[in-house]
Amino acid sequence: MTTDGDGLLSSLRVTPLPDDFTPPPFDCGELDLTDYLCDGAAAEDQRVGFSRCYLVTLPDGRLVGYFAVLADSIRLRTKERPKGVRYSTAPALKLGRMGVDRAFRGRNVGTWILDYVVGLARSLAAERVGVRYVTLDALGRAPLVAWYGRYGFVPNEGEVDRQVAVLKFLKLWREGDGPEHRSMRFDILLQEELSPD
Amino acid sequence: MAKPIKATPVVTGKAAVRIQNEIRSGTPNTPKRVETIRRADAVYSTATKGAGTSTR
Repeated sequence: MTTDGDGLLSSLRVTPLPDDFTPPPFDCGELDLTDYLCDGAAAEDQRVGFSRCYLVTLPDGRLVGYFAVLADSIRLRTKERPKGVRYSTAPALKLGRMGVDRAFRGRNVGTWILDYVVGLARSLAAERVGVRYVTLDALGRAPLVAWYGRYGFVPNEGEVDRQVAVLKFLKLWREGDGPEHRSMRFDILLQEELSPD
Repeated sequence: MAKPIKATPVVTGKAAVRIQNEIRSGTPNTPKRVETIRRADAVYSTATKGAGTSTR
């Protein structure tokens, strides 16, 4: 459940990163994510067509956060393809970067951005282009992997799954544990939205 | 300069089979998952209709 006790979430606006973007004071607490927006990497990725960056702001223009999205795919390599599956690649929308200013921590803005991106992917899937998943890389900290997991993201990598299974078998697994970098996916379609066999 | 965004790695073995089954049959509709997707639709719809939202 996403709470919006003070009306912050319902007031958020999403605008594309402008070409002439001059970063206001912004610190999301992770240097790499702050630098991506403020040192020009987001604008450069956008300029060369590798991602689109969006600013999340308040009505008065104050910067709350940002996110960058790009086309992606989950590539599958296996010789044991089940009957009926014709493709070795699943189309996806990747949430490449996301940051929320420290001043707005703990107010569910991150979850709101995830909701927006899942909604964007579903809108694309319904009307414009084939998309089945939202993907992301949970970087740096195990709690972040757990946070995405609580939203509904699951890890992609078989090797990571095996590591976790071994840890669980040995009773060495604790909630929130895990490798420091995980590729994860969220299936955006409900079962009733799939075409019948 | 910030690190570049990485490509999603190739999925192999049993994990790949699991995803292929998921593609075909769908992910089970738990109440939490249905609620999350409905909420995402509402957030996107509301934000897109808002006066400040633009897709350029």
